[in-house]
Amino acid sequence: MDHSAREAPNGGRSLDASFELVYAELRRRAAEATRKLPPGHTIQPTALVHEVYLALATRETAPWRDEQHFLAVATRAIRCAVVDRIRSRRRIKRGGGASPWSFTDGLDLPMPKVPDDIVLGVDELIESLRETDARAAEVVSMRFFLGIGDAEIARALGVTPRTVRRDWAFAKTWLMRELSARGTRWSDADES
Amino acid sequence: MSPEDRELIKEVLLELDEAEAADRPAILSRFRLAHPELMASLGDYVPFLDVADEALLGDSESPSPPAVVGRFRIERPLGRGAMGEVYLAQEPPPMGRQVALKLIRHGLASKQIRRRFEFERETLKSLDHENVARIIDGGTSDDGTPYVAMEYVDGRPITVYATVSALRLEDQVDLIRQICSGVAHAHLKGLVHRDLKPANVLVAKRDGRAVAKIIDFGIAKLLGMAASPDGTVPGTPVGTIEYMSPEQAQGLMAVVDQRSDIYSIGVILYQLLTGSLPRAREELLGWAGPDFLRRMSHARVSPPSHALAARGAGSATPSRLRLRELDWITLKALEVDPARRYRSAQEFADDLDRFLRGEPVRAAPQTLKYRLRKWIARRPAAAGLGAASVLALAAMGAAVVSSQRQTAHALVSAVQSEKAKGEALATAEAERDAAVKARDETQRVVGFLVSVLAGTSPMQKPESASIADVIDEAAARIDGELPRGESARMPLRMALVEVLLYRGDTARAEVHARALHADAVAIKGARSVEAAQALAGVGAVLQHQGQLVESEAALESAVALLDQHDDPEAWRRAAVARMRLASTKGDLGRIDEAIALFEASIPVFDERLPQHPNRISGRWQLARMLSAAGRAAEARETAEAALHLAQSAGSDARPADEMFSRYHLAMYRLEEQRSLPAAADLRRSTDSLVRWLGSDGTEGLACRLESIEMLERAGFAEEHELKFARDAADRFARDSVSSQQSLFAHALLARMLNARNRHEEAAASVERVGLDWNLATRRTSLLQLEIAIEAGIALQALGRLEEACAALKGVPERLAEILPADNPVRIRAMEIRSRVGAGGHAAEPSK
Repeated sequence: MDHSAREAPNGGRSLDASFELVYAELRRRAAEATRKLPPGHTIQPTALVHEVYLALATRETAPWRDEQHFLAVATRAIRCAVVDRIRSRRRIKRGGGASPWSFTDGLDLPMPKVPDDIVLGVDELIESLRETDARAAEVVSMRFFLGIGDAEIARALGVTPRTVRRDWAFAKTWLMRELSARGTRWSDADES
Repeated sequence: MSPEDRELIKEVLLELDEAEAADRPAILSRFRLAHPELMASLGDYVPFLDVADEALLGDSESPSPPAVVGRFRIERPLGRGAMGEVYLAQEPPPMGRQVALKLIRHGLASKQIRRRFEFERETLKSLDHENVARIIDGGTSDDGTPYVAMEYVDGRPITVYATVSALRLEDQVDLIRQICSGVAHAHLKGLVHRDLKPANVLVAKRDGRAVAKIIDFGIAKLLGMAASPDGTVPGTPVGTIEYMSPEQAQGLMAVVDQRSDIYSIGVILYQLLTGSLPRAREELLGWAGPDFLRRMSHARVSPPSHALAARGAGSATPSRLRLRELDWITLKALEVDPARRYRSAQEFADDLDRFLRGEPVRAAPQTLKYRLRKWIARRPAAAGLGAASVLALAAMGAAVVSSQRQTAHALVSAVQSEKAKGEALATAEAERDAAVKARDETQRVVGFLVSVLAGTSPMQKPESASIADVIDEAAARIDGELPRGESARMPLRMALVEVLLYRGDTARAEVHARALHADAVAIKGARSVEAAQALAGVGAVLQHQGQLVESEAALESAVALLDQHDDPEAWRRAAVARMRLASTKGDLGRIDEAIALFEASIPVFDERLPQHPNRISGRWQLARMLSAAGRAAEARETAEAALHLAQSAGSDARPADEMFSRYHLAMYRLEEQRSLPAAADLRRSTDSLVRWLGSDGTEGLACRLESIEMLERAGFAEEHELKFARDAADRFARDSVSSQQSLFAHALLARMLNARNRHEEAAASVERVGLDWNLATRRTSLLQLEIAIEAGIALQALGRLEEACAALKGVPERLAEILPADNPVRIRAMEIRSRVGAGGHAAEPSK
């Protein structure tokens, strides 16, 4: 999967460079959190992201330009994690082992509610959507993978909540149309 | 798509997403108006609005879908309905169809639903219609949830489709017609939908054509769905009451039948046309309570055309008539009282079909004017015809209809008398058959008239298409197009004759009266009541024509024929013909015979036809005859009797009767008294009568002339009255009206001029009438003889004795045949003849 960003707007570190740092930090924190939590308990991805943000923000060499930049990076990280988890789950089913670098074991990712095919489909389609409408793609990422609300997304993107809702109304129908066209299966029927 | 366009689409998608389902069409309509070019793009996204959140975010409370239900494999959710989730599922081979599988998670005991389904299974599975989604199977899933599997329709709700595709008015109507057709099919199987709404009518393009499919047929019944008056429907989302028939919304399930579906279709039609609902949800909820139906029927639905007009329906704005037709159709479907809606979905479909083909719709008020307009509208070329032609044909149509109403009247009286004989049943049936026949005939006749109007050839010279042209065309086509045996020929000819007589075109009227007789003989037989009546009609026209001898002969044969029939209709017609005969005899100068005939026939009307107008008008004519016979006192008494009858007629009175009666009475009073007050009284009553009749028509003119004649006889006529007589004579001459009325005007004018020693003018006036002085034997009518006398007087006074002699040739002899020796006209004739005689002889040698 291609996670490379188009560019880093307004100078500063590129999204990719930031991503490495943030992703590594997320993995470390998640692993730590998982060790601390009693068995069976999970940590919310938004809580984790906040924690990472606070931890990194105090450093002088914060890998992001601003909060908006950070959220974009974190979202990409979570998204990556979610997709990884699905892939590893499938590998396990087919007899493979878990990814050694996965940090998602202790996370309660917002994924179980929709079929895996949808998640993987959206993950791929986001990049096509980004070509058409970068902001709408960002809104999808944050809502779909990070599970955060309109107000938060609006703050992160520096737009009004209504703009976020408008982007979402468009993006969700755009995605559905693409998914239908691909004949994406909407149930886990073949996996249970 | 440019970023700007995309932002517009995003905005409207959000609006739609946040709106109630019922408000969406309005939003779409607004968007279409503002950005028609973006509708196609928008259409790509709209269908996914409702499923996206659930599919992408999984934020529904529904349990995750089962993998298999019954024999079907679930593929993906399609949506969430009132009663549960709907999935796209796959049927196993060999059929392997894609189905929409509805899980019914309903408050009702699933056992009950299952039993209902078992009960309905065969009926539901027998649904087989292009516009109805087939029910493929049903049963219970492993966890006991009932389900129904039906044909999967990859379409959009009709309102969404219509707006997204920017359908033309006709295409919208066609979709509704398809729904009606599908619903009619299900109704035939005894299935009522009970939950028709846009979400249950999906439209998809198939072979380039928009095809509507109704889904969920029979589901509502499975669920025993009903609404309570607060607008909530157990197990259904609050949101469908807008489409529910009033009786269903009120919860009167016992009376919910097929017509309930018709109401729902009406709502959908209204919404398609206008983008809004006929009765808003809030309004409906506000009326909840025992008074619901009454309050609903008091709130009138504003016709769709108003909303359409307000919206400015694009470039191809339909004509006002088309819009009114849609109003009629829509409002008929939306009647609160089911009995006033279309009786069946098929009837509804048929009417929409008629609308689409441009034929008159049944929902329309059945007026002649509307039918005429429809025929004209279907033949654009007819628009060139003058309004006068339209009026003439409308008059013909009206004459036909009224003549048939008279027939119906006669039938009723026939039935009443038959009832007395205890044969009520048979006659009632005969009456009904006759009424049906009469109605069919009227329709054929009106259709013909209008086709004549619409197709008349003067089209090529529209400016000059006169009433006469149209009538000629109609006459030619009666012969050309209606077969000889076609009974519609008769009322049509009758109408032609009436119109022509009204217009004073007696010559043409005669031709058609004779043709009518020929038709009646051909169709009904020479001795039939119809033939006899037609013959009497010929007699009447001949009388107008001034061919009095022929008229007399025709009327006498007609009376003789009618007397041979022993039925109420025949003797009624015989009585009318006899009175006409009396009138002709009077014109012929056979005053005594006329008086005897009037005196014999008036009692017949008095005793047996007390409502007949001849009871009064017969007395007017008798009074005139009595006056001509010099029996002034009796004339006055008879006129008094007519006035008395007119005043006591009560509600049956024709307003003109009393005015006519006063006018007649004033005439004979003047004749009797010869006083200035009596003359003033006659002028007054004439004025008010003519004002009522209209001063332009021949009838008003004739009354005025008759009044002036009486004033002249009494010695009170003034110069302005002479001028009026001259104008009338000029007008008749100009319109080449060679009728009794024209003769009367000219005779009066000549007499008045001679009396004032203006012989030159008198001579000019009689010469214009163009009587052939050498054919004295043809001067059959009293009026012609009178004109000959006035001609003789004028010519003698001018010294043109030879001509005077020719004019008077045979006149005293004719008069001696028909008038008693003491008649003033006969005496006058003898006098002038003796004066001319010498001069005539004196002049003869010079020849």
